Formats: sequence, C-alpha cells, structure tokens
Amino acid sequence: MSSMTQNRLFREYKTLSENPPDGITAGPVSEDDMFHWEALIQGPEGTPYEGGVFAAELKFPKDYPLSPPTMKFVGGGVWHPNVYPNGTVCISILHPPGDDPNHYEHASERWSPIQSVEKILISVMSMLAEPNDESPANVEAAKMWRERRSEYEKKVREEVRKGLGL
Amino acid sequence: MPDDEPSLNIPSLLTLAVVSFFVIRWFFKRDGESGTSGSRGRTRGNIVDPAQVEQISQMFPQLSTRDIMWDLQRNGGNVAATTERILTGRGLDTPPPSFQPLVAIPPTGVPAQPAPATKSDGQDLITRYNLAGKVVEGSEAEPAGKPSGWSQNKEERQRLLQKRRDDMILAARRKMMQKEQGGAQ
Amino acid sequence: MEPTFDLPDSTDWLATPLKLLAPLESSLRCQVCKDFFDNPVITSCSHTFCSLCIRRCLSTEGKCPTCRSSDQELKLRRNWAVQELVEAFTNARPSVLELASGATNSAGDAEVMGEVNTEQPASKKRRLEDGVNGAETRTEEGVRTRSQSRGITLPVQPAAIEIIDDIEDEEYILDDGLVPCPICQRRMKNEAVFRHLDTCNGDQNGPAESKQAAFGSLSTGPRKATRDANPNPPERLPAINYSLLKETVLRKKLKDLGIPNWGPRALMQRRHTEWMNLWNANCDSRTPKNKGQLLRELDVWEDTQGGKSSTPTDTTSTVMRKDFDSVGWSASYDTDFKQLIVNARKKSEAAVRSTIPSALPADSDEPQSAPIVETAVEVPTPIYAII
Repeated sequence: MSSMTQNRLFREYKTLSENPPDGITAGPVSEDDMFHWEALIQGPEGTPYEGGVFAAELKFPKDYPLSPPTMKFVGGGVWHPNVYPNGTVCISILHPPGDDPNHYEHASERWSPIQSVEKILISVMSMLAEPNDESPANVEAAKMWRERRSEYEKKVREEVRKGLGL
Repeated sequence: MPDDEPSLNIPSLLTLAVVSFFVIRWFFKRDGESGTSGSRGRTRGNIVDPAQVEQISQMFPQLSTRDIMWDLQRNGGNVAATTERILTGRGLDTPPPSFQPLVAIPPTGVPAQPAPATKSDGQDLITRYNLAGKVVEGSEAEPAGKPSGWSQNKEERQRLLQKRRDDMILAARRKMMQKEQGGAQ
Repeated sequence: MEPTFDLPDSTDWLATPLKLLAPLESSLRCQVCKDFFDNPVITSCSHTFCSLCIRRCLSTEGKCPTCRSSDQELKLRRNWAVQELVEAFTNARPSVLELASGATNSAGDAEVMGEVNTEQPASKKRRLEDGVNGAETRTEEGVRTRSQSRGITLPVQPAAIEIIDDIEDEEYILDDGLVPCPICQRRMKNEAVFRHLDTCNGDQNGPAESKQAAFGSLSTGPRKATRDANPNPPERLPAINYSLLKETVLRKKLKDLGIPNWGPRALMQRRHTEWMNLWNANCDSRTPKNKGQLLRELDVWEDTQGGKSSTPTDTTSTVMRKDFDSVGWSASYDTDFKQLIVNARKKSEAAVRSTIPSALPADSDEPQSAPIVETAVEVPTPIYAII
C-alpha cells in the first residue's frame, strides 16, 4: 500500500510538473518524503487576490488516496472566510464524505480517492474567488466580507503585496 | 375462530409480533426521553440542542462538533456526561458516516473574543524562499521560456521545481510592481 | 528512492507527436492508484478499478469512488476486456513511445525507425530466447544502444521501466519451474528438454504461440501451464462482522489464517480487512500469487500503516484533533484563561464542590495546550480552572 501511495503521489507530481494547470505549482518539499508537499497558487483574476501568490503546505496521510490530505497556507496565512487564522484551509473537497463539520456540503463535493492534488488546488483557487460564508473558518473575515466588502478587499490587497515582499 | 381457539394461526402470530414491536419501541423511546429530563436538553429523535453543543465545544475547542453531537445524541443531551467522558480521557467515539446531525450550529457561534490572527510566521514569500538576491538581479530580466517541468534525475527535478516556484513568485512580484508604477503615473 | 526513479505515466506522450495517446493511456489507468489496471473489476455502477483498489475503498467507505453509489465487494465482477486492453497496450507501449519520441528527434532517420518498428514487437520473445542460449544479441537494449549511437536522444527511462515490468512478468513465467525449448519456445520441465530436442523440428507454430502468450491475450501456452499447476483456485475470504466477535475469537481467527495476531483489537480488525482485500483481490488474478507473497505484502502494510508504522498513538490523539492549533489557541486566549482561573479560584473558595479528576496525561505532548479543565457537575455553566 505504501508503495502504491508513494507511486500515486509520484505520478501526480509528474503530471503536475509536465502539464501544470495555470497558476499552480506543486511538488514534494523533498522527494525523500513524498507525504509532505508545498504548493503555490496564484490569486484568481478579477478578485482582490489577483496578482498574489500564496504558498501552502499539503500533508498526506499514510493511506492516501483513501483519506484526503490537509492543506495549510503558510507565510502569514490568507485572509479569507474559509481559511482559519492559522492558515488551515476548510473546503469541502478536503473532507471525507463521512465527516461533515460544515453542514452545507453535498457529499459529491467531498473527498473521494479519485480526486487529486490538482483538483484540490483548483478548488482552492475557486474558493478564493467565491468565499462560502455559510460556515466560516475565520469568523472575522466572514463578517468583514459580508458587511464591509471594501475594507475586506483592501485588507486582502495589502496582504497580497506584503506576501510578495512589497 | 371459536373452534380452533387454542391453536396459533399465522394472523394471530403476526398481530402479536406487530404489537410487541410497538410496545418495545414505545418502551425504549420513553426510556430515552426520561434520561434527558435531568438536563435542560429535550431530545426528540435525532435533534441535538445547538446550545449544548456549543457549550461543550467552547470548553473543548479541539474536538470536532460532529463527535460532540454524536455523543450528546447518544446520551440524550446530557452535557455533564459528555464532559465527564472527555475529561476522563476516554474521548468521544467517532460517529458512523451515516450520522447526520439535524441541527447545525449557528455559524455565528463566535468565541468570547475574536481570535487575533496569528502572526507567528508572517514572513513574505521572498524571505521564505530566499529570493532577495534574485529580486535585485532579475528585476529587469524577462522570464525565460516555459521550462520543461520534468527530468529523469532526482536532483534535476528538485531544481526544476524550485525554479518554477521562484519564477512564479518573481513574475508575480514584477507584474505587481509594473502595475503600481502604471497606476502612479 | 533512486535518484533516477521514474514511473511511466500518461504524460509521457505529451512530449511526442502522439499527444492524443495520453487520454487513451489515462483511460487504461485506475483512477485510484493511477497505475495501469491490475486485475480490473467492474462495480455494479459500471465503474472499473483495480481489484485491490476498489476493495480497499469499499472496506473503508462502502461507496464507489467515482459516483458514490453504495456498492458491495460481492458484486464486483471481473472485466476481462479491460484486462486484455491493458496487457496489449502495455506490451505495445515501449516500442510505440520509442518510435514516437524518435520521430520527434530525427524525422529524417527513417532507416532506424524502420528497424525499430520491425524489431520491437518481437523483442520479448527474443529475450526469452536469450535467457536460454544467450546466442542472440538483437535485444531491445541493443536497438536502443544503436539508436543512441546514431545521435538520437531518446527518453531512456520510461522504456527502461517497462522493460523491468516485462522482466517481472518473465520471471513469473519462469517461476513455474519450466524452461522453454531453445528452438520452438515450448515450455517444459528441465529434464524433458533434451528428450524433446531430439524430436523438435523447430516448427513455426512454437514461436507464434509464445508470441501470443507474450501479448497476454488468451491464456494459451505458458500461462496455461501455470494454471494447471495450481488446480485448486484459492477460496475467497468472507467478510466478518467484527462487532459480533470477541477479541479472543478474532485473535484465534487471525492465527488460523496464518497472519500476525498481535496488537489491540482495532489493529487486528484493520489487519484482517487488509488481508481479506489482498487475498480476495488475488483471487481475481489470472496468475494468483502464493501466500508467501501476499504475506510479504501484508508486512509492507504493517510497516507503513499497521502496528509497526510510527503513528502518534498516545491518549492525546483520542482527545485532540490532529489539525488543531493548540499553541495558537492557548496563545490567543491566554488572558481569558487567566481571568477565568482567577474567577474560579474566588468561587471555589466560597463553596466546596465535587470535582472530576482530570485524566488528561501529565506528559501530554503539548504542554501549552488548552488548559486542563475541571468542571463542577451540578453547576450548569462549567467553571474553568487550571490544575
């Protein structure tokens, strides 16, 4: 199983390297540990995250792909209703179908062994574009997003600039 | 009917089965409800009082609300029992996948004070990936053609991945700076 | 992993003119392990997976990974057509890939391509031959070396991996204790070869037969021999309702199955499930492995996911969710906690209450984790206090 898990992660790494989706770079921190990846995601266009690059770490369980990985933004986190203040991403595709901490999710949106790192990262990109404030991970951000949108956008833009060292 | 009264026929057996089923069901239901009378919760079927769940999850924020709901539902909304169970280290059982709590916690279950964003690792990507040198030298260089992402060699692969990462960050930074200069003029 | 470790993948085609083969290849791969289908089976919702992959999925979740409709292990059926497709494709893959990448790099060198074209499909047969008399040198490797010497750079690794796969196959065939006749390729017992050689006329049927076997279509020739050698196909293991079994019974059951029976009950259940999946998937195989091989696979599982894997299994893991940021939490609520402690001390001086001793371990991993809580049972609102 482990060799199956590692082979699968290796193939995903290869596919993501040879044929990467726009605005996504991902791979293991070191090939000696295929269970720990780092990914970069570009902020989607037409959103306050546009122009930004966000780094996240992915940790895979030993029984991947039966169980989903966890994903956490690093380097200051991301101000977003569905991202915990510590950077952990709360999104339906990262939850196994049995586990439903947010009751809004359809089972079909959740983790299944046929999902992949690529699909997770694409989902996270669209999550950045369209926050789901029904069950926020960051209550403050959700409140700000709902009630004071311009302030929210300003804060996000500032963080984007800061993330790029500007 | 009157002549074969002592013998058990199928309809009467069926009736007996149905009646006893209802009796047993009623008995257990009543039992379950009486258990909850001590606490403020009232459980009808699967319903869990969101206030109780919130109370426990405030005490033990590290636990999943789903686990808490499952335990509360099973012990009939007894907060004290669930608390005791957690504190004695037995932990909460993981609910079966089929468990669908009927009541959602109101999303506005805000903790007493809003959590300040942790700034423990608030470093930017330039410092994180040691790109300070490249920021200076590569500020005017245009990005080279899309590098092929794969190699047969492990070190080479690692280098290519690193390069794609750096390029992505530097390109974004360049673009942002250009945009700002454009905006300033 | 080796520095040059690589796996063949559908993206290998993207660098060649035959880009359209990439979707073909990915449709011949299992969506769960991303490898070529290994003993493909079809679910009752008509999705195909490797036998082992879908069994593992079903034993964790009971649902088809693709469409999430409920399914049962017992309803899985072999998908022979897919198996033959995969075998034919994997046989053809190295030569087609080599040809395609050769075409990218040297469109002009038609001579080599022609050579490659004619020689590749039969290479396997020749290697079998080499294994016995070592006379022939026109192996696949030979072709590649020559191609390279003409200045063509080919992606060596994917092809090399396929060769390894082939060799594994070959080893399997050789495993049956039979050797092929050097002339007609028919396989027979070692002692019988010399007697056979006296009568062998090297007819054309022999190579044709072995070629067919090499392409893995119907099990004629060598595979038939293996099947005959194993007249009793292994019996499938039934699923167990673990909740009905006592721990001692389960332990005995594992012992009867010949698999390790140490460890706590939950581990034994998981081990049994894994064994059942390995075993039943093996039953779907046309060339079943023997029990020793399966036990080695179970060992691998044990090392990575079972009892020998290094997972943090202390009591905190039952109390603490893994992704909970305890340090961040205790830092951000530090003042609140202190305030609550002060309040609690005041209150507890006023009244004596029965408290529940905390069983949280003192040597917990996170010394800064959320303060341990004592609660007064009869008070509706719990009181926070640090011990």
